[in-house]
Amino acid sequence: MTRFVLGRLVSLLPVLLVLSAVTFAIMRMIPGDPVEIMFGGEGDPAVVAAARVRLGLDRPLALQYLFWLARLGQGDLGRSIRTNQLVTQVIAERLPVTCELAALSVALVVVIALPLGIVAAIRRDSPVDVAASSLSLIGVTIPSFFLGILLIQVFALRLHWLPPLGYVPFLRAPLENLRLMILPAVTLAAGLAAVISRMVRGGLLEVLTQNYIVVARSKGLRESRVIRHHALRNALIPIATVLGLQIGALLGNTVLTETVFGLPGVGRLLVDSIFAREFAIVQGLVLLLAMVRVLSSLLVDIMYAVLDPRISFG
Amino acid sequence: MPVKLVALVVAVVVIGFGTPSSPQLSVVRLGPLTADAASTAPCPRQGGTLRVGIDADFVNLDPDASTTRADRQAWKEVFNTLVGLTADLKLVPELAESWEFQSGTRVVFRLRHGVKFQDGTDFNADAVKFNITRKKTIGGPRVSELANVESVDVLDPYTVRFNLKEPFSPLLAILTDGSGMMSSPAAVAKYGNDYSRHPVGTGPFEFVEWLKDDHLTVHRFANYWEKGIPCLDEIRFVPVPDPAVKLTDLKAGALDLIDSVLPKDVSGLRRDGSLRYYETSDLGWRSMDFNVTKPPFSNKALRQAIAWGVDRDVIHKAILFGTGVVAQGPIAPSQAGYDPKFAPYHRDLAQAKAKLAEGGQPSGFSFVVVVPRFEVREQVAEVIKEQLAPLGIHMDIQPVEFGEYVRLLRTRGYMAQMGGWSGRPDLDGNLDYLFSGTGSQNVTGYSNPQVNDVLDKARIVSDLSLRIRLYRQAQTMIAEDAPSLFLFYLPQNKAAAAQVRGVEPSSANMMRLKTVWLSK
Amino acid sequence: MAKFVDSAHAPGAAESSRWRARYLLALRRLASTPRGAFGLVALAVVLFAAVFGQALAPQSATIQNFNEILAPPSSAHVFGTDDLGRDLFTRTIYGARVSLLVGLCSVGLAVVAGVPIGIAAGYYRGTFDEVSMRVLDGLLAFPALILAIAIAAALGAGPRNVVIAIGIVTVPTFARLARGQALSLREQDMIVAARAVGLRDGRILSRYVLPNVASVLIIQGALSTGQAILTEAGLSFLGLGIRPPIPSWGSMIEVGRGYLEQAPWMSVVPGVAILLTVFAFNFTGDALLDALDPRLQKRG
Repeated sequence: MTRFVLGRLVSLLPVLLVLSAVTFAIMRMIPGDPVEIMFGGEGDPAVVAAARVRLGLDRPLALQYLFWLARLGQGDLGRSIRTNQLVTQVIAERLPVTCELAALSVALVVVIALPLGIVAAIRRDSPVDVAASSLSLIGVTIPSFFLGILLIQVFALRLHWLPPLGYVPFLRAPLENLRLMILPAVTLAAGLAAVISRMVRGGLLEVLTQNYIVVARSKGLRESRVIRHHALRNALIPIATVLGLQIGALLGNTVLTETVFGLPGVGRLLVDSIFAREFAIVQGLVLLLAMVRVLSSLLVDIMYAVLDPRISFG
Repeated sequence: MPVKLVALVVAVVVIGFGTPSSPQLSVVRLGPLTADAASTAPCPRQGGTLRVGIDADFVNLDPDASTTRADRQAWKEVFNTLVGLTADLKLVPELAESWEFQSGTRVVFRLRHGVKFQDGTDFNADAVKFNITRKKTIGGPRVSELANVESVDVLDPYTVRFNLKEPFSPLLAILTDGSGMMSSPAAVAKYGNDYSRHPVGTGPFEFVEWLKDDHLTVHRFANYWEKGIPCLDEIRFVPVPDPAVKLTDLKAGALDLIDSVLPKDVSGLRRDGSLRYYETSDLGWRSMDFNVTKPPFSNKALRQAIAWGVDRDVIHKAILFGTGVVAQGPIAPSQAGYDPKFAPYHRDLAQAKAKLAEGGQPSGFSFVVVVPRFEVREQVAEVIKEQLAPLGIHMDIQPVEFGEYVRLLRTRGYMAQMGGWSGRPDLDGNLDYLFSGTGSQNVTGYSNPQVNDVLDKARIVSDLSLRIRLYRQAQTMIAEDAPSLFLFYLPQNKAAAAQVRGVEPSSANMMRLKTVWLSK
Repeated sequence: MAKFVDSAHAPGAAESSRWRARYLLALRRLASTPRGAFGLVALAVVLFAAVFGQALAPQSATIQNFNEILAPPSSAHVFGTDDLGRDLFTRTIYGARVSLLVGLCSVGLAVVAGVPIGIAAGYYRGTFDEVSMRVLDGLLAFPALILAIAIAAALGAGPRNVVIAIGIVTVPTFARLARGQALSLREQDMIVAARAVGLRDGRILSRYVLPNVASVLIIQGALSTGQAILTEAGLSFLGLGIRPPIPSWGSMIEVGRGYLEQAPWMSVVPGVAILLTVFAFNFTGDALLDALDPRLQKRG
């Protein structure tokens, strides 16, 4: 097990290396100069040129990449062009927002999608099932930013139940923080909840036709017990997998959610940094995202093994 | 207050010398100093916290390094400038009590005594020399502003001399902004790379804390040199990127003052009796700029045809909802020298057609306009496109991302673009930078020897009325050549809750909050 | 829903002669379920709007009327007007063309680029398989939207570049799908037999493998088109996709966001249009899945 995990972590290195090179290349392909953008298009050409030299942007690209790699080897992700702040610090400031958003969303998915899928499966073709499947269809279909706008319209601007936008750190004002995070979390969760609830329903229906369930039923076990102890457990394994694999997509969607709700998270930081050509920040964030993605799939594999004794790590 | 009175007299004299006699000068307003000298207390009421909603979070609090215009909002509270600027763009003494041009290239500043930085160190001539040197070498936007300053000599602890490379009349105006802001040398040394997050100046408020995207707080500086100022105990800047939310927060009492109001919201705000609305116009204009080095717009008549084809009043009404001011030239409405009667173009399709014929395209032509997704530029382009259609002029809108937009400007890889200028208090910054053939912001490629001569001359004469005459002359020639189609000056507006008093909107769009007070 | 398709199994050993009949049957079955019928009808409506919109629309999509800025829905303007006084109904209809064009073209691009790679990788295995799948994994390591953002930023705004960006992001989906299908078909009797008879690879691939992959590709194509329309809207919303004056639903929502209080219809109308269109594609795709794969339908 330990060897398996270590092996996976080591095999992560080349992936990250390729990824960083690709990101580096794409970023430099984007036309536009970070210094010119920083000066809002009104920089004195001489000053801009001097700043580019100072920042090392005039060097050959391959050299810039090697310098970046060399510094990375010392744990230095570089500094922001605009604020001269350490990239690690910039990211660390934004990370809690996105983590909280993602955690709340996953919690919502579990709390909403699981019961919905189970009920839909048990009461197949009932009004509940139809309603649930309609809801989940809307969930996957609606553009997340549009859903966000609708929620702001209804709950913040019309009903005044919740504050529309903004962010307060959880530690400073927990209640206010949660009030501000509810709508973004719902927005982010909607798509995933829809997928998961349909999977739960489908998976459960499939399991319910299996022999061992039939056997369990024929033994006279109560239906609720059959579902809880036999069917659900088996149906949940693939769902746990999907949930884990969806973390990456979830992070991608935070871009839109954070933009709509004005949350200072890493998703918006990434887009802003692409626009500002903050190369070092983009590089750092892509590494982080890729790591989260790879680690979460590793976690899924481990979970799989824990949930399903038939799988072992050779 | 004898010192103040002396200062006042010196100031008037000095202003008379520095930017001498113009018709307006007979009614010099000295802003806070006047109030002080007139012995009405600057603060009818002391204390309280002001919560200010701002468009976007600050980026860099170091005035020598930051390139972000909005950052000035914080600097204006934390720092003083060598030369002060009133809301109506008059130069007044601030950290320098007086100044004197010993020759065209040597300016002596006498510094105010007894001024402390917020870290307790003294403000003096050495600090000025340190700051100017730092600004000239740190690679920020001040390098070009101070390019003309060869060196700074310390004559005695409270006197410095600026040695210029050549006579440069905009110098005083430049020292009213970032280039004139004085940081504590000790703090710069102490914080090093992190100074951009720990600014220390001599201003009325001292920096307390900055939580990115959350708030920035400044407290009153107890040892501030202007007696009885500031009025407030604390200012809290809160970035609220969404304008609708910002306005809602103001109405709901979560904010006391907001730094901008969208034009569409202004009429509603004016009707709201519980809020106050303040408006002046920006120092910089928005325009459609032509690349005069390439066809089709190397052809002057075609540029003029477009200038005759566009209806600025419709744009002003439809997109600015009647706020701001229609622009006809680079001299801003708030600048000395502005002529409201100057209006060389209005929509006149007959004139436009004549110019099309003159330009050899009687039935119209096609061109591409590059538009960044920025402010209201996309909407303005859409309106202009429709306005030009009846002339047979087909304008193809090419939306570009901002970085690409700047690249196209710098490489002149465009035909026309929705551009403009952020504006400077001094006329030189509104004309020479863009319309002199060698101007650092000349993206149109425009170069008219006559205009160049006039602008060069205006740069070195110090007589304000003469300068104004020269700049007006240049403005007329530029309008005739039409490298830019001037459209409008955006509004600079603020809105505040009823208890907030003493707000003075500035066309430089920076609020100085030292004399703002709360009535309850 | 992509998940269902990813794990979709190879259709049974069907011979190419039976294909036509099967599709006809599937189509009939599709139209007979309520979801399928709704999907087809909605799809037809959107297609109709996209093709005949210009003739259908009451006004020009760009004509401005400054006396009717931000007018609420009325008999003159069914969906109201926008910030420049343009008829929103007209712009929404025009937007259908933009959305469909981007959706179909980008998926088309992804199919053309991805399917040959996938089939070749699955059929031949070996180094090509290894390398191409590693590269695709690399692409997949980015969240799709973020990769699309980066590519769109690199290429610049405009419909063509949006199609390319979304196309590239969608390639892995089709390549992996085709690979999986080819992989399982490879060992099936008819292919083994064809190979034994001495048929050339090219012929086997086009005659036996491709048709068998086709049904799955059609289903995924419908779902991916919906997804592509969503991505386009997201990119345009972020300012990277299609910008005014071209009426893209995404950028219409983005502009409308500035007028949420004065004119909510500006964002709601195009939002609902996206919703319905993506609905149409998803319904159709889902129903096709049921209709084309009877085994799944029995269980589902």
